[in-house]
Amino acid sequence: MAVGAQAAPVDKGSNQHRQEMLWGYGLTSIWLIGFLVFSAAPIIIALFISFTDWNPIRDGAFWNARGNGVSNYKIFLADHRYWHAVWNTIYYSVGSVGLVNVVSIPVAVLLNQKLRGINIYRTIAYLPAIMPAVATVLIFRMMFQPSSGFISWILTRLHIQCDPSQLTCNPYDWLSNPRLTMPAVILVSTWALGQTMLIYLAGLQGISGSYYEAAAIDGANTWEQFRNITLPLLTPAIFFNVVIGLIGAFQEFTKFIIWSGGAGGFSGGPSDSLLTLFTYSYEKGFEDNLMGLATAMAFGLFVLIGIFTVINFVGQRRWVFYQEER
Amino acid sequence: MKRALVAFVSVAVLIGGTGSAGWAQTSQSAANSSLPKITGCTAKGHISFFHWGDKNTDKGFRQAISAAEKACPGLTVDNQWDQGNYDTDLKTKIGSGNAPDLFMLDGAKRIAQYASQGALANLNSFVKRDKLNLKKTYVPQCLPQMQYKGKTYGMMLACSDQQLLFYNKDMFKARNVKFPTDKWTYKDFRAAAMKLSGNYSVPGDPTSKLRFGYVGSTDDFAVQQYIWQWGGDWTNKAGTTCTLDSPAAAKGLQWWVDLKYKDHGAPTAQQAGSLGDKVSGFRDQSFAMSFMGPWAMNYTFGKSPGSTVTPVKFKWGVVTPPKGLKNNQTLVASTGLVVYSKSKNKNAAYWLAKFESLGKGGQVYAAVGDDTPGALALYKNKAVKKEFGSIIGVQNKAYKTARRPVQLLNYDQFYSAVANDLSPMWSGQTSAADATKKACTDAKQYLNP
Amino acid sequence: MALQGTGAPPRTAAPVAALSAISPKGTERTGHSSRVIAYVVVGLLCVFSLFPLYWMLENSLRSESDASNSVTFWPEEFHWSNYSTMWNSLTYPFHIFLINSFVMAGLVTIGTVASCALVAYGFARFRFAGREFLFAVIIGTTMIPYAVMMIPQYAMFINVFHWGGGGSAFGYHNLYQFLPQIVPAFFGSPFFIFLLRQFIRGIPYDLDEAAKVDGAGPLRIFWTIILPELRPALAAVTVLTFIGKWNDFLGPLIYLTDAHNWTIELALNSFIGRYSTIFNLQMAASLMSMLPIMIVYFIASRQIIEGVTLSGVKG
Repeated sequence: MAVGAQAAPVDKGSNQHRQEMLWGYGLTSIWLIGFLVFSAAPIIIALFISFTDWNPIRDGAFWNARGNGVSNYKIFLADHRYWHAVWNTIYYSVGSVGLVNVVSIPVAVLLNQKLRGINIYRTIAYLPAIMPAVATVLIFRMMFQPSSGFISWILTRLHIQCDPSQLTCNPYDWLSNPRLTMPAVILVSTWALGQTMLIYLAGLQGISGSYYEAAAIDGANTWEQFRNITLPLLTPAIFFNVVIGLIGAFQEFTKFIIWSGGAGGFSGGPSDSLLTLFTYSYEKGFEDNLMGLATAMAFGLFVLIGIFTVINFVGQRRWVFYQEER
Repeated sequence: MKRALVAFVSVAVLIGGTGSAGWAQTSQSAANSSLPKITGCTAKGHISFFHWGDKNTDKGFRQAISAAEKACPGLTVDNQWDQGNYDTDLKTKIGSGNAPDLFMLDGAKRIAQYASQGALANLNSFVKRDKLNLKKTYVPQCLPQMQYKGKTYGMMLACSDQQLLFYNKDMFKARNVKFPTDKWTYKDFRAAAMKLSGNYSVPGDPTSKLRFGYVGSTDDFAVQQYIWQWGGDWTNKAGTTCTLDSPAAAKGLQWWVDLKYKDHGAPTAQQAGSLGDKVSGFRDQSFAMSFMGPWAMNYTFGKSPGSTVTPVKFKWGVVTPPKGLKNNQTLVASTGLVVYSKSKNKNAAYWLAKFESLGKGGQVYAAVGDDTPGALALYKNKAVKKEFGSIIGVQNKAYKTARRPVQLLNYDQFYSAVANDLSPMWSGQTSAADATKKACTDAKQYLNP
Repeated sequence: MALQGTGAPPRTAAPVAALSAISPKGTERTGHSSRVIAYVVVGLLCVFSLFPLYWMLENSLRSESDASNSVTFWPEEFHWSNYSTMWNSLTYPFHIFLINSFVMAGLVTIGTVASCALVAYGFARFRFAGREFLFAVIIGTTMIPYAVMMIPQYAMFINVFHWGGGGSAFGYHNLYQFLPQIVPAFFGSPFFIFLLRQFIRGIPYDLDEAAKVDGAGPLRIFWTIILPELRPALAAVTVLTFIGKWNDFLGPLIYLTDAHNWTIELALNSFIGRYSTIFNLQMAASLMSMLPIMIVYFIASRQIIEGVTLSGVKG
């Protein structure tokens, strides 16, 4: 990151210095107060709640809750639905982040070409990324309807599935077959690849043209240039996208709630195939009123995110290639 | 005709009433019960009231509330209304310690649940004070749903049979199938459903499209009734053991799975997505038969005064549900008005509940006709007779074998766990025996202690 | 990732960082035939991006049974009345939900922009003991998942501040329910503080010095020197915060329990509960939730791209 000009050094202890300190504390205290009240205090409350069996309907305020030691942690660690949710969370995160990144690189390369109206294409390609998740899921749920949806229509035309207008035909059931629900959600996540793609685009533009010129002189074709220059120089961007993407995917909530029928219903979808750690924690907390258990579960998610982030940072040394600083 | 029915029904009660004491007949009891006079208004102050329903329901409640405010000048009421997200929003309101003073609650599923967590006010002392004889005031089939451990928590707003068999006469005629009767068994039902399924057109909808005999509902009420007909249930009576994996229950469910996947008399899960549910699909003439409650008059047929639904174009009929292998028990459900345990004005809330379920409010609400009323005397109301006249007779017959869902203190969670595990069964991937076994393991934690 | 705000706009992090590095022109050179292929593939990409939106529009205009039974690419008949039906199909008409979304996202945006700019200014231009430590804490907080904060924040807002619930205590329209959404935004958002601090550090200090010589105080310097320079970055923060909060679902879901307070996203959620199989109305309602965002995006996308690029900050 570009480092800007620093504040000019001032004499310590002078009146001016004291003034500056006051201004510094004054301005940053806006954030500091917010941090203490809205972040630090809740963390402490979270720790407290996770060792109680707080049920807001029964107990009222959280300080009336009865402590129950580590039993919340014991309960969820022994809960096979929890481990199923762990698996689903990893399945979705790795699947969607992998797929989105694999698709985004060629798209970014394409949008890095000198084409007429390239800004319009970039604008359009990025558009889905900012669309509200609820409406997006509704559109795709309709497109994935087993017999009347667009996907079914295509599959029937391609003779991959039988004709749904026949009495005995059972089309692919993207919405209630537990083996197909998660793949459908993962496929849909490619629609909003704009975020990832933009990072690659930025990465591509940071690659100096001189590398390609040198390669062209050596007679390397386009693929070889991509393989030997673009991809290695893009690894920092890939790393960044994978880390940020995984952290985001682990915390995906809206998509799963809406895909499995909206909040207030069952958060897991068919056979819990769409149950993730976040939605399970929400279900325990806000549907079942088991706030202590839900908070303990959320710490489990925290740990999982931590593990994956550490793996990423440790693993990066093997494959991320950093350009020398200019 | 009506008198004959009453006579027939009374005899039937005398004959069959030994096993189920207290299962009095609605219309019969209505004949000798009248609305208690809601006088001597003791309610004062400002309370909030929270309800679900569509615009028509809301209209009914608004009228009922202004009648209440007129009858009781010291009382003002906030009418709050939610559709689509009622249960979640209510839960959050209660969880935050600041729920409405009076609210609607599903008697079959939630009154026991909320009462056991201390969220509802015990109304026994009020009932005693007013010398209300609940058994003679409300439809007795539903009354236990207002109570938990001998305490009364709800004033019954509506009571109805949820699984009456509605059928589309035009579709039956188009496929040359005889109309259902009250004597139908599941064999007849299946044969008709199979004949009514296929690509065909009906007079009101000339396009030839895939239609089915039966919707194939898989909701909690449907699942329970499916099982009951084969002599099973999902838990024991106390709700302490899961019996969903018993052979009877599994057999009952398997029959319905086979109706979808073997007999093609109802849509498979894969086909169902585009055909609509028991209301919209029935309105679309995608299904010839559907199990619904009297609320269908408002939501399915648009027959209630002021209904927001356009009336259907086809002719329809209604009979009692078909008889299964063991019996033809049928599910009754109710809606109660309950008082929040932390309400600062329980007296006013209780008074409004009474007024809305029994007093003038009840009459106003009955005129809008969301469901058949909970108060026996309201069955004499002209508007109720006019709207539900064609159903009440059938419903009374069905009430003879009425059955309530077991009072589970974690009904929602229990069913959610069950539904999750039954879903592969409904999409034809596992057998009922396997699915129910898994459902019992997962739902065990939500049984009553 | 992001914190403090309930619901949080975590996804907004990436584009600011990325957009900042994009120059308007491409770099790779290509031959004639491959250019044709490139246009074709770019065309397909645009179709892929826009088709679902077209599908939504098209189906929102079809009749209920057409939309749920068949696939077409042009409506059999135009049922414009679907929009008026949809508009009045929930507890309150849809403009109430749109207004709620707009006011909530608007206030959150104002709060975020104002507080982040001031805090960033404090971190970038003033020296004080513990500055680096506090800044490290800011970066650290972006790593705490919202899942962990969801319940304790709820406990605090509901039990300590009494912001929430419903009933008679606060009267009919319980506007307190909005506070957990809005108030935290006025105390800054870690990522944007980080971003703006980088921006301010890029503004030459000489300008401050010159103003100081003229006798300007810190606030005056902020107003006359920092803010004008910061405008492109603030534009990006404004748009991204607004979009992020408009799209937020979880925060409103937990706190806005009165139907009168629902945002458009919550209205959509209740739409699924109520009209799960009525696709034409679902699509019409979806379009209503997307339209304002599309308008904001098409007005502001150029400004974000250019503005952020100009200031030359890289994440």
